[in-house]
Amino acid sequence: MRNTIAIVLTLVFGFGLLWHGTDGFRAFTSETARRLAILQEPKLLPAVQLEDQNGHTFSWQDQRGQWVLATFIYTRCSDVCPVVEMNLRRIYDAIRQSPHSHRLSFLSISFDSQNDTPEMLMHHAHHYGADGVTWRMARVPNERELQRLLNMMGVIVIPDGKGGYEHNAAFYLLDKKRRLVRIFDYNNPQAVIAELNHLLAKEASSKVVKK
Amino acid sequence: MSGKRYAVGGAFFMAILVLPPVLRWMESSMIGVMLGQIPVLVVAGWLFGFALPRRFIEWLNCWNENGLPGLLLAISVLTFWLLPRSVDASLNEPLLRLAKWMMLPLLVGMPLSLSWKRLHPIARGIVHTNAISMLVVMGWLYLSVPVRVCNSYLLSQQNALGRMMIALAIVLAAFWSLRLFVATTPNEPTTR
Repeated sequence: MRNTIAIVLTLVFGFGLLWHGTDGFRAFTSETARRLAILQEPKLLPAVQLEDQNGHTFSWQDQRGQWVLATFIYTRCSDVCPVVEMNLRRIYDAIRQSPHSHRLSFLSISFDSQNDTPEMLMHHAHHYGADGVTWRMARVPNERELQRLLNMMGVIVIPDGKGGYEHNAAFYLLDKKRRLVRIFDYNNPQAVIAELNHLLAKEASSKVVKK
Repeated sequence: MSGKRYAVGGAFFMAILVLPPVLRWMESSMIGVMLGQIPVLVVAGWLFGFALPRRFIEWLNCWNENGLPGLLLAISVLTFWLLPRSVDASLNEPLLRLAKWMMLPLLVGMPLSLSWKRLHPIARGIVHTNAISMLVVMGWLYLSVPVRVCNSYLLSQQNALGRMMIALAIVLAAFWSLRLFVATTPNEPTTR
């Protein structure tokens, strides 16, 4: 009898533990857990000072009521970053031809502030055909601010011992209120374009209603 | 006396794991954590199980007559700590790291050592075969999934872990099936 009770109790405990640990069997990796959490509750970005490819400093406030699609890279990266940037380019090209082009700007943020000087960022911008206005390359010169930003975004950067870094890649959508509202897969630009068009159109229509 | 020796043995294993160079070395690779640290923590708990006072074991046995409660507890807690999400969390959050280091010995290793002898041979066989098939399935997943499941580890490490798991599954399968032919059924191993 007691044995049966114990079996039932352990089953309940085990189920509860796994249910809790996976947000109801939806998130088995920390990346999906992060995305779910953001989707349910957008997070406010920490105040950081960014420096773009022209050496101009700016912060989130300077985004002039635009949404921002950001990603994290470093320019010497040879494995995942080129794919990320090429896909960002695809999204950039698609949005430029859409009616919402003025509502969204693009930002590639380097976490290698040491090596990615404005000159390197400028070179990188040319390489991917970024215009430097709608799509900017930037670094966060202050190490502590950079760490705070990476932590908040859920980006983990590990030096690989050969001068490079291993890091998780994604696209991060920031709204006008300086909140992180979505995290997208970096390897599915079509889905990102569709979702962006949907979100931006929704925003545009809500504005019309307000007027 | 001998119970104390087991406790010292378990503590010794955990002390080695916690040494900064060992800790850093093991946590620097996914294989180190999944096939090094986690199993050793479980083994440490297994040894602690022999060191418990007899009266406490007798009390536990009332609740764990056929060993199934202990086995189920161990499996669910182990599964939890094998989730990629928990692996990441235990590396990045000190509180969860502490939880992992307490739970793996006390809620996986110890219940296993208290339950294993009590389990029906068929239940033990199921555990054996499931361990092998789960290793193959997880190894195959780690080899074929193109995304990193742990933010803390590289894709190449994930693939290496996958290969290692499949290799381990083959070794275990060979070992268990050989034992079937070489040794007599290990129901009463103490009679020799």
